[in-house]
Amino acid sequence: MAIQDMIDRQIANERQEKSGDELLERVMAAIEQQAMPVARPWPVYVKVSAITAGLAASLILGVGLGNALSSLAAPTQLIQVNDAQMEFMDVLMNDEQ
Amino acid sequence: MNERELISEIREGNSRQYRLLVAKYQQMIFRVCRGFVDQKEDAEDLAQEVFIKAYYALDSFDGRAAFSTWLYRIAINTCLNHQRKAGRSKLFVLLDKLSANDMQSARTKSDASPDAGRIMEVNDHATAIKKALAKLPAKQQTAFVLSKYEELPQQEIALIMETSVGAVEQLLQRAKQNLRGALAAYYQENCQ
Repeated sequence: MAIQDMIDRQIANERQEKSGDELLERVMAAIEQQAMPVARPWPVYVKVSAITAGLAASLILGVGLGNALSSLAAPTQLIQVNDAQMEFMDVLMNDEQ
Repeated sequence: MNERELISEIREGNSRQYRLLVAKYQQMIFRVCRGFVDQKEDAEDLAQEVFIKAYYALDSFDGRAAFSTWLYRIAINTCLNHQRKAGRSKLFVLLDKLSANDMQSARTKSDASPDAGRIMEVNDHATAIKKALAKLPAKQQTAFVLSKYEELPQQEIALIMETSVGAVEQLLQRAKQNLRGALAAYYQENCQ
């Protein structure tokens, strides 16, 4: 049938066509470009390690700072005397005089 | 290295090995895409899209079917989606062109001549055939392309389309009938 011949001839012509070599390069370039952002984010174990290390550092820093502040506060506490002691010291001083 | 080993290696992150798969299947996928579009360049763009989609979906390839069957399915879905989008955009362009005045003049012309559809008149055999092919239902079109462009046996077409051989046979018969019907007017006007 003539119409069928027309269709078959057209398909035969198109089947002769080949894709260019650049198709392969285009695919690989697209994959490599798109793969970059996918490969970049840190893996989960790195994220978890970073958070753990951060917490540990904060804890150490907090304890250290606490100790430092305590030691700063300590001398003030040592020279603090209550009223009874003050009276006792006054008595001593008056006796010497 | 066989194909499955190659796929495993790509899945493990050796993306450069994907080049071997593309090289092996590029003409096959290009031919399928060519069956769905009018221009060679469009077929190359579609083939590129197919391979990129396949690369990112490689983890979902379970190996139950052959890799080529899986790739054919991606190609067909990509081509049919493209056709749907292209059909929609062509319709919008057409509607855009036909402003209110144009609509009026088209209506006048259509009154004068019954062949008002000449706005989409085809110029050559290839375009006419592609237009007729694009108007076929998706399943008929798919079966026809796989049979004529890829020259696949009906059994393999049935496997790709996940249907029976009998259904493929029917789809092919209907596709041929519909194509002949759609091209009859064009053939009478231009080829006789």
